[in-house]
Amino acid sequence: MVRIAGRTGPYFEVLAAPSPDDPSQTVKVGVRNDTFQRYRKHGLVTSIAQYFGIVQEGLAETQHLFRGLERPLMHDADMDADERVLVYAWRPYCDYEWSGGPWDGNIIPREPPPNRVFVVLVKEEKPNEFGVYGSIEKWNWIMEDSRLKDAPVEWDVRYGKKLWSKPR
Amino acid sequence: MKTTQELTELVRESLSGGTVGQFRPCAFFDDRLDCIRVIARECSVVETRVNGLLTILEANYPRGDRECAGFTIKGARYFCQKYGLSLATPIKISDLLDAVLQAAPDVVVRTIIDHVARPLVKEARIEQVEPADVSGTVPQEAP
Repeated sequence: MVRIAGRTGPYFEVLAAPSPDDPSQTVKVGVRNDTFQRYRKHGLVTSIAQYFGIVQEGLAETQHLFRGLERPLMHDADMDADERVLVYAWRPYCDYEWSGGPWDGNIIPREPPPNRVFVVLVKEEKPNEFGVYGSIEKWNWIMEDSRLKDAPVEWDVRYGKKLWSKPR
Repeated sequence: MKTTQELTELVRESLSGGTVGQFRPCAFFDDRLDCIRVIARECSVVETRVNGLLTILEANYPRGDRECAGFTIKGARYFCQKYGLSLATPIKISDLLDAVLQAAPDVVVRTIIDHVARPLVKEARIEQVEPADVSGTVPQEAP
């Protein structure tokens, strides 16, 4: 469990994540209220279930960390926002889906299909009073790379560079 | 590790903090990751990168051999500007897919657009991308 704080400023929740500089250290990352609100608004409850079941539980278990998305990403006036995205990757041993309506449904635990890893995209924030290093923007499954265990397929094409891998 | 019941409670608690909609197929602009997400099915998905512009979402637990649950158009601001599509107004999905083909007219992309994406949005009745600066229509409020 890596939860540090509940609602804090614009964040729904703040977690501890391995630092980009040193996997033995941690930085604060927050999931924004806006992000959760978008999932709620569209009824994307499986993503919320995966947040509590996989992201919150597993971010500390990250095996590989990458920086930069190899695709255009503009945000506000930042033309190079793609370079400020961190990608945390690992292989969880459980997946979750939501079955039923938002109010009467339940979480269904699933055994993940083989050759899949989970990634969490964190966008670096400008320094702020909450001490949050980055905002958790998205989380999802990706096929596993055949050369680097627990890493997303074609990570060397998808991402700018690999910052570190934890020793096994 | 949390139990299934604990996780269910956490999800329900999180849903009580705002407006909640019943899932329906949708398409919207993700401002912070600069992409258009088209989602036809609410389920666990694996994302497959086609190229720097297009990603396909496949159900992790498909009802058949494979099941497309949606797709993502990346770099949406630049892409829409280049092809004369305004994110501030509803974008017809058919116009969006035509622009994708114009931008990446190779066989793989054409096959995916014509044989996966177009049938998917037709079946799911997704006709347009919600405007970026509108909070969107919400079918029901939290009780």
